[in-house]
Amino acid sequence: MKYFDVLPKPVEDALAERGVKVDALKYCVKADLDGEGKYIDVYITFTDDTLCIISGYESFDRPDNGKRRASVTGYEVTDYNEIAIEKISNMYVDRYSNSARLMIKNTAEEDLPMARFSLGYADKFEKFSDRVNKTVKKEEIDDTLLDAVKTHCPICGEPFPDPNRPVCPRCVDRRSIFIRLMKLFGEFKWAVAAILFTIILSNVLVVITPIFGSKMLYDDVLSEGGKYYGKLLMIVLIMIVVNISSMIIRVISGIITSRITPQVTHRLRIKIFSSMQKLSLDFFTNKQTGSLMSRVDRDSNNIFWFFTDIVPYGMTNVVKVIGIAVIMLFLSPLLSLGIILTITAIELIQHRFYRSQRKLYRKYDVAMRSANSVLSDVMNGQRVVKAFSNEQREVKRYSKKNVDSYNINMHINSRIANTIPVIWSVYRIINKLAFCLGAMLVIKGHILFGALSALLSYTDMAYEPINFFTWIGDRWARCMDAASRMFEIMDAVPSVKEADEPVHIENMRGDIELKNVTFEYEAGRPIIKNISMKVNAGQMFGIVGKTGAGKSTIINLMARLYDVTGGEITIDGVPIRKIATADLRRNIGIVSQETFLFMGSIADNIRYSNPEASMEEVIEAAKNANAHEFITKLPDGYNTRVGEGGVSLSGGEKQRISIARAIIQHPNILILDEATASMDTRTERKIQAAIDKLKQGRTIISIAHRLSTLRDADTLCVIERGELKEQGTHDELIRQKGKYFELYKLQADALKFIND
Amino acid sequence: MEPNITEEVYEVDKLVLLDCDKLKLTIEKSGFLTAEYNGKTYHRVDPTRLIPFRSKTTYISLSYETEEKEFREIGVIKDMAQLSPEQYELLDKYLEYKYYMPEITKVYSIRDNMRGAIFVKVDTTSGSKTICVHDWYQNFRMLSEDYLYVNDADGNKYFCKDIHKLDKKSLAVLEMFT
Repeated sequence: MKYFDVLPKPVEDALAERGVKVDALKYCVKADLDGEGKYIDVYITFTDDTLCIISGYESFDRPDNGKRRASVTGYEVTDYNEIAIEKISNMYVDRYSNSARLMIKNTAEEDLPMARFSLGYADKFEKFSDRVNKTVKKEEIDDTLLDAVKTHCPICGEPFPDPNRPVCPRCVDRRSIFIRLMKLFGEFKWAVAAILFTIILSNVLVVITPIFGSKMLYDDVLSEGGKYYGKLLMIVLIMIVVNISSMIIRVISGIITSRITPQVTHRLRIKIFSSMQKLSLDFFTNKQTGSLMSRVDRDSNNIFWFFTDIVPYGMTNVVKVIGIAVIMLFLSPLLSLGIILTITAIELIQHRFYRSQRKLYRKYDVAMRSANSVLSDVMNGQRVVKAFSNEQREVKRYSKKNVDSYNINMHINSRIANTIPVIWSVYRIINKLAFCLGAMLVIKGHILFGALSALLSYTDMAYEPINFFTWIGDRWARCMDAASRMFEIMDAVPSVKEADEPVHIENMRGDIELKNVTFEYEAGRPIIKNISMKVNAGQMFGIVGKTGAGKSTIINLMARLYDVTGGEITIDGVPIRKIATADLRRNIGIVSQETFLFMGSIADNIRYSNPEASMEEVIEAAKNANAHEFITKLPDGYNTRVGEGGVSLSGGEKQRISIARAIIQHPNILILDEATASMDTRTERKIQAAIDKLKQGRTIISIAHRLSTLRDADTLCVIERGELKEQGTHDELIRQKGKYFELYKLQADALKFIND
Repeated sequence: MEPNITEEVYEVDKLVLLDCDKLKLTIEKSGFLTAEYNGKTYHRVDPTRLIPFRSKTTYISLSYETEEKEFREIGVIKDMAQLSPEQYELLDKYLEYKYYMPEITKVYSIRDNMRGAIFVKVDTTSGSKTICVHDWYQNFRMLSEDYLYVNDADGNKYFCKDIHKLDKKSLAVLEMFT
């Protein structure tokens, strides 16, 4: 038994105890709720003769090391029912808001509830019901479409939450973010190595300075009997050389950093943006624009600090601290040990502080995203805001969101303001105590004055790396948070993925077939329900239906902007999932009801589908789309800038540019989704003539509310609530007096009213 | 072939507030709801909370589907309090069943796999569960100052009416994600 849920051994045993032939079981599903809505483990399975429903509670073992999931070790049965298959007339799923029921209609025409489950499992129950119904009718069951879909995770055996996205959230790669970020260094290794080298060199020089400036000066040059007694000029020259060298290296380091910084930011932004571009349409439709823009902008900036601050300065300061500690221990082990232990204790306190601070940064990020989303919302909807004179209300809305982020930011800053000075004060007090202790040791003759002076210089010098570790924790927290979001995008697997070995079709004939296609944007809420239809190459196929019937969804599926959740679509006999994406996009042209023009000239926008097109082709396409006339009247003609910040065009004008864009693509399959909806009748007729011309040698799929637009369609289909209701030619459908007839009559009524 | 054109009159939809004294609801053996109103019987009636997040017992729409699966609304119950206690209980029970959504009563831990998914170990009114939430910025969020709404990777929904009424440990666990 391969589908849909795995029947655990203890459940299998419980069924066998009740006389069920487990080898003859065909399919199994697991429901998770009882009648009261409490969690329970219900298995429903069937043989050719019997439907079995067993309820109970599973018990699990503790997962061993290396094993991701606990396995079912026991099953306490609470109820068991059997129904003869021959007594079932129909099995179906009854959906509620957040749960659903598995129902059967028995041969006495009674509806009986069988099981209850969370709505997310509705799809598998629909498929299960379909198989039960086929068994009842003794029809052949075809599982080939299920075979193509990977339903379970190969690591833990659990079903994938989203059947279209074979990603198991339990088993994703869990390497630490830090290690992954380090791997990104490969790209910037020379840049970072150069910065690192110069910083280390300059710091080595800084670290050795007190040796000359204090220890050698007081103990060897100024003290009688010293190794270099009286050689003042030598020590001054050494100190000047060391200082100047350190300064020159720091300048070089600054120059390299300033050159590399923009490069790193640029690459990170491109990396995040290109990762987003690989994702499917559903990723964007589910998210707010402001939030996505913030990811590209703010997150790349935060990650940038990892490469230019955290790693190079972090490593240098680690080296510096170790160097200082070694020299200090050499000068006075006892005194140094006390100072080092103090520094360690301070670092531990800071570490704890920044760990809790990270939570606040995350909250701040959520608040900022929320504020940016309102911003983008209001900016895009300015026309509506102005029309309803709601400027002040929008200001209040934005202000409220900003107050949230302001409060969190205040909290973050006040925590820093209250904590960091205290830590520093403690450090300084200990430093002064060390000085007193050191002075006592000098008086007692345990150490020389030069050594104490050098020791205190090093303690001062330790301020810098400690200070660095103080604020870097803050930046580290922001960076790790941003990096986790970046990896989320980079790791996201597009729901519409190209096949491993795609089939290349240079020129599609245009035979499109939908076989039992179902689709849902949200789990448990099907938009397209078991639709089968065939579009013949070179024909015009019209899709008719009321608003929200699922017409646009069908063409989105045909163009593979989304993948079907059940069934299959083929083009020229090849499953659409196997066709190379580039071939698919090149062969299919779409004129959507939502036209979008990018920032740029009109010519650029027409050329968007074919950047190599000549100016003659652009003008020809515009003429075909009846756009040439209005373009000519614009002062800058085809160079008129449109899109954000450009000339504002009417809905009809935009749509004509969009049609020209499709025409210039020369697609073998042209999809028109309410392409002429925003046009007046005269313009629509002109466009219709252009489309008629385009029809030759092409497959056209057209959606239109105005049935007159589809008068020349070879085949028409009527979609209602995601189901195919009727299919045939105009005359056939009129004769049927069904849904199409009804729609046609409605529009004819309207025309009659006008004529009257 | 052109159809015969007959004139059809369309009425503008208006809000019909139901007179609760004239309404009788019954539950069939199958679990479907039947309504009798103004001498008419409607089968498989679907009651809908029109403002589910704000009020569970006011503005309840009663509708059904015709054989052609056309939506038809019988009317709207302004306040279920106008129903008799028995009818109130029956409708309330049905609505609770229809809008079944486990309420989170305790949060033990939230594990972030740093790939956009979080695993939330909770107690709910339906039992204990570890919920996997994808894209938690979208699916694990506060709808108001108090109301937490969770949509898990399987499409199941959960809520917590007031997170501030949870125990301190749960609140501390939630802090980073709300």
